Amino acid sequence: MPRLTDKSMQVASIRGMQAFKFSATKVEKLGATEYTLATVAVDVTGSVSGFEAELKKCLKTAIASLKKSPRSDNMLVRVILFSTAFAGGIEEIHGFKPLTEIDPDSYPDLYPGGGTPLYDACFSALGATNTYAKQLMDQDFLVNGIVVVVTDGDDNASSATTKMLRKEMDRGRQGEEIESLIGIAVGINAQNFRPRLELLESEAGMQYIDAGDATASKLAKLANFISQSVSSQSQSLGTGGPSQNIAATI
Amino acid sequence: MKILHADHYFQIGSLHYQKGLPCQDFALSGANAVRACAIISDGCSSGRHTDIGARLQALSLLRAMKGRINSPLVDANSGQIISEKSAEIMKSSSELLGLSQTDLLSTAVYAYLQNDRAILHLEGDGVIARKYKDGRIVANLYEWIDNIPIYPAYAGNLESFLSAHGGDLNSLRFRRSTYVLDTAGESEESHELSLGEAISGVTEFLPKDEMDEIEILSVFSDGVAQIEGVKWTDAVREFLSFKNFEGEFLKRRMMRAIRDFEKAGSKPSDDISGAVIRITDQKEEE
Repeated sequence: MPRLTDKSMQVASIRGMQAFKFSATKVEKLGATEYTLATVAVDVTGSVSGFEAELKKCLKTAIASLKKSPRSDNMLVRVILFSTAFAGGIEEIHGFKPLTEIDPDSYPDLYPGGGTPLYDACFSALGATNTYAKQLMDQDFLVNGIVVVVTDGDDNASSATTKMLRKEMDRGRQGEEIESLIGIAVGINAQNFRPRLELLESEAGMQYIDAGDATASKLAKLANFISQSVSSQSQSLGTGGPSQNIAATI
Repeated sequence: MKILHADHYFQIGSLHYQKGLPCQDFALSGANAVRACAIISDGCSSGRHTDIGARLQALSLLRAMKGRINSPLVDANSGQIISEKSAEIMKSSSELLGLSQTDLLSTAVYAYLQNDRAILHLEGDGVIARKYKDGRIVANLYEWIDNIPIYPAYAGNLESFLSAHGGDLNSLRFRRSTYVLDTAGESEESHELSLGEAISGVTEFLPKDEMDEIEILSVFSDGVAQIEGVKWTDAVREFLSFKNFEGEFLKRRMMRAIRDFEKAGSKPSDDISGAVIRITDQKEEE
């Protein structure tokens, strides 16, 4: 569930599944002309137990690195965790906020547990991006989006389907409600699930990248990948299409 | 108590872009608790480094306005005082930079507000528009016949300028097209002024009682009248159709409106610039 951390935030429902909610900075509080909506969704199910501290470090590093991007004033970042241990399967660390208002050092420790509502997490990330993008585009802002979902396992507890994810990805391709949308699923320690996770590519239209084992080095590279990909997508804002410079491997 | 906001925007037109020329429009704005300004300057295409001239013009005006911090309230003479001070600043800075008059040929169009009174001033061409709290818009497009505007950089040496206009001070060489949008609908009418009437520019003083009715003071370059297939009145109306007012509110509005024009096949052929002051009551802000 979204947490309303201050009065400058609003809560909204995602079109198509009203039970899915997200929080975001109120549109009237935003002053720039354009924004990239970036979402990082992190799997905190039981199977990440053992490398949860490295995963948190990866997340903090990625967000801290984004703050140094020349495009940082034009990014709104949302971070969510997913596991059946959370009510509704999704826990928002924070909704779409300017990077200046995000303190990664305040991110909570991760406590792995529960099953994997992977499609619900993807839907929450993509759907919230599209819903908020439409609100912003209707108010003259130019908006694109990028979603990075980090998982170590296949979906086993979702109400959303790959067809629903495809519909959200297609909204990005149409370019009417959001200029462009990139959806990336990253598998760590997920080699056994690769054929299933590749359905996110073939059925949902997202990109799937197998990052290999959950080593400290790989997770550091993942942090860099997240930061670079978000910056790159932000730099493509205004070109009419998505970034062509997203790395194919980690 | 009034709250003042200001914003500005400028962008290159397709003709200059295609020819590899710089944008020769420039805009500036600023606001504090009691004063606000909105300035645009449009460099002459047939001049030399008039992109620099337009910037110097706008910066000189801004400097002249800042210099009025200890001056009495804005009145009908303030336009002339600001113009004279701006000309002094422009002269000394252009000498330091080794610029010639052909570099400095640029218009000076601005709105300046101080303690609930304002002046609107135009030397050259462009648009001055007001939007009232009740939604009414009154906009004036000022154009010189044969597109030969007067520039502040002439500094009183008007021989060539007058000659280019035929030399007869009584000839009608300056046109004001007035557009009004109100509850009765839209109307537009034109009025021509003589060369003699127009050479000192246009200045309008807005006293407090009129300012109490106004929400937006805006100025635009004549680029608003050169968006292919779009009437200048439609362009101005779109540029003033704000959906929100945080931060870069004019920039956001103009960029979106221009993108929408472009989607419909209408590009700004000339450089385009705009600047606005928004005046709200503190109650509305809350």
